Amino acid sequence: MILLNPIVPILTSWTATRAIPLIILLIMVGSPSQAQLVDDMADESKLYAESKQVNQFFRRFNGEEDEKGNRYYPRDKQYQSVKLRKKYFGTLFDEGNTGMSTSLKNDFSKHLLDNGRTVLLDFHGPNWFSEVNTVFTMNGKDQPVILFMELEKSHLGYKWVIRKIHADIFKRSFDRDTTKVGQFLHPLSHELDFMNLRKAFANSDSISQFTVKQFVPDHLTIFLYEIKKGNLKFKSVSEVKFHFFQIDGWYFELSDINRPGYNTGWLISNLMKLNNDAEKVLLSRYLYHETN
Amino acid sequence: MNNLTNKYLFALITSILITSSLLAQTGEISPERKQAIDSLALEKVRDLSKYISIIGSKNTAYSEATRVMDRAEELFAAGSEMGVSSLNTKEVNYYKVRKYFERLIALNYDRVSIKWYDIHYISDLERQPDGRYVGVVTIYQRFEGESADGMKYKDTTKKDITIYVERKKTQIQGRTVEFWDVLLGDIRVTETSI
Amino acid sequence: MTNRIRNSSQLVVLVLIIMISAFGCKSSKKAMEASKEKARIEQEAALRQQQEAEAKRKAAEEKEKELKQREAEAKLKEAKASTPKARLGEYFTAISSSPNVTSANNSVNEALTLFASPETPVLIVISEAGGQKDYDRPTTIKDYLNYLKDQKKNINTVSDLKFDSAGKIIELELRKPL
Repeated sequence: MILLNPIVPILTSWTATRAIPLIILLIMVGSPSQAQLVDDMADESKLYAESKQVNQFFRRFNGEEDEKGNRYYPRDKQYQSVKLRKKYFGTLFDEGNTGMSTSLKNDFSKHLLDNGRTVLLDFHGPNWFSEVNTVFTMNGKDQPVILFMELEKSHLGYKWVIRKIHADIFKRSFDRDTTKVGQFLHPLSHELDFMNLRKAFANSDSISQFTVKQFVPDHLTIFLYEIKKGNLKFKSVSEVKFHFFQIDGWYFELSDINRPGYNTGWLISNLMKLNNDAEKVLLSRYLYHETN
Repeated sequence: MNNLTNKYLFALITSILITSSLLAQTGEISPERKQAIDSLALEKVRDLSKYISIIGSKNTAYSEATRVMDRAEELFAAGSEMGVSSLNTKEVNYYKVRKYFERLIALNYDRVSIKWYDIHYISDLERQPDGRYVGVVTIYQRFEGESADGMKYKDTTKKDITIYVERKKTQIQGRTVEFWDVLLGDIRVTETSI
Repeated sequence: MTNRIRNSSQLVVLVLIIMISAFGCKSSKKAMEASKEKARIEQEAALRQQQEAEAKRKAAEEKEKELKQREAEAKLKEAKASTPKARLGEYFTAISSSPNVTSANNSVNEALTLFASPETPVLIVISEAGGQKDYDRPTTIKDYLNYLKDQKKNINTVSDLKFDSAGKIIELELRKPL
């Protein structure tokens, strides 16, 4: 297609070659005629139902907006009212996910709303973070990298910061088998001023064996170093989801569900009851890919 | 006695200064002001749509398109980009705003119909570390197009548009005038299966 | 026997009299009705004529009223049109609804003659509370007129003008619909 020529130089994949020109076309607003309004009421009602932003999820969870998305403020009667929150509660979940039973959701609802409770989500509060799945290139090859990010107070406002990352490519570099005897620096190495260090470092593949038992590499440090060195380059964000530990005794995951219908947008894609702190810690470590 | 009065005055002035700086720090925008700012932001989003339709139209002369590109760029904060993804691939493609406009001029298209859905959603305004407020406006657009070889294409896209809101001052006719500076920022375009 | 005949003939006469009188009543009734009918028809015709005349009169009155109103409006428009605020408003309308770029540009150039310079500041009020006005980013009249031309929409109203000694506008305040 002639249309593709101007943008071919910047495309990096075959699918992009097909999809992107069409996307650019559909980005363009207006044609020779004036931009008009879509008058499809059914379509528009689906868009109203959609949880369009994470911000909207927070507001619906807390009962801080009406069905049209207009903000309620503390002076409004409906603001954070139990009635409103109960009305929204059913719309917060990914109904396509059968892993969350009705009884579990009911328990959650009771915890949030029964007996005069007002358990709310706090955007600026702790105990919630983002899992950002990205693609970087390392030595010309695509590598998946997961960034774990959270909001941090800074000067006059807030900003998102990286707390940890996980990349399989870094994990592989530090693999070691602590069950085997392997290579080691013998217990009297100190008497010879540790001259056997020279032989230990000669083979760069196995130097992790000479670290303490508890050693766990920090991927974030390596990540930053590799980027500074120019070895690791950002390519794209592939998926974003959020993990919430803010509600005491509960965990839930928030994902962006893009599909036809009314149950779409930012919805709870997983819900778990946490019976004690140990469970919370275990789950947290699992989410951060720190369990092995 | 004088020393005591001075100390008292000093304490009073200090406390006033601290209080006013605290107020400056919290800087909450009232609901009425928020509504006016939302309205202004939405107007700028509509303005952008109109500029883009002029830039992309076959009937617009190149010189005119360039002039309108300049006006459209004025709506944006420096360094703003478009991030575009389709349903087929999770990969996002990024374009600088100016680059995106220039490609609009280069492209030719036939029988295109682009309509907006009336719905718009505007987030709360959040404060950045530098004191500026940031928000996101979400709108939807329906595209129907027919290429030269008769291929038809129909789609709906969701646009999440960053807006930066800052209280600024300027001199007009020798007096200081305060105003709300609303600029557009990065735009995320996602194909949506409605 | 004669008595009976006399009685029966008296009876016949009586019946005849009754019949004749009844008939007479009927016919006079009919005659009365006929004349009543005639009168009614004549009355209706007269009423109709009256109503038509009335309608004609009313229509004429209305027309005159309308004419007078239109005259008054035209005069008012004329008077208003001469104020800078009104003239400016008309230019804004002309520019934003121009059928082509050339006529739009002509209107822009004409409008600029009302101002001290193309860089004359334009302030747009987005909200007002407690006497304090909130403004959009200030622009210049040249940029604003080109904005109207490009956007083909004119939603702001003229709220305040400042002039120099030569009668040229040195500052313009507009209001966004609130």
